Amino acid sequence: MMTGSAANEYVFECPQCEEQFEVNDGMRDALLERGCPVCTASVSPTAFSPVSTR
Amino acid sequence: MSLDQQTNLSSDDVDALLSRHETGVLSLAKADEPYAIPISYGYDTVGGRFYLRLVSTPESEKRAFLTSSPDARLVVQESGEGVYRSVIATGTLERVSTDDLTPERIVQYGQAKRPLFEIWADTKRDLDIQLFELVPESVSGREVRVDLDEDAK
Repeated sequence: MMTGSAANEYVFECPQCEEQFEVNDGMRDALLERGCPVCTASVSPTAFSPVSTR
Repeated sequence: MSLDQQTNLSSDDVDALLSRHETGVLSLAKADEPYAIPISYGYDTVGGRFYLRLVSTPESEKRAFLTSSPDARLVVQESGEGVYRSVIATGTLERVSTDDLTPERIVQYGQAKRPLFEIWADTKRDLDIQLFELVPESVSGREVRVDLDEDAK
């Protein structure tokens, strides 16, 4: 089962609605599989960047 | 046409009906004012929660009703071949911010389909799309069967 308790390691930026928020590994996997929860756009690995580089 | 039988749906039947549909009518209340809109939803049978994605503009009537966790009632219905079924869920509509997202919630919103009436005229970056959850305080369903053959007599 996926959990949301792990530390956030990435910043997600939706390519369509431009929504941004920090995510952990479990959330990243869910976004890649299910798309942006806000606008439903498909999500590719390029939508994620490490938190430390921003 | 006459009423032949009216029964309450079991919780399993309620879950099944809510799972095989993805649209309903959401009614909100603010003081004495009612407001009702067609919406799409995702339904989590395990948690018994509805996941909704609503689009509004700052000036819209919808926004005015969404600002303060309004009391809500969601009606989902189906009919065909002499059978009418409906489910009514009542509870409070709670805003979900992106800070509140979890893997489980992302999966649920991914299952919340977007029907034709939610194909938006503006580009997505120009819209204010908000996420909500409806955690029902009560859910009830009923089934009505009517005798269609009686009309033919």
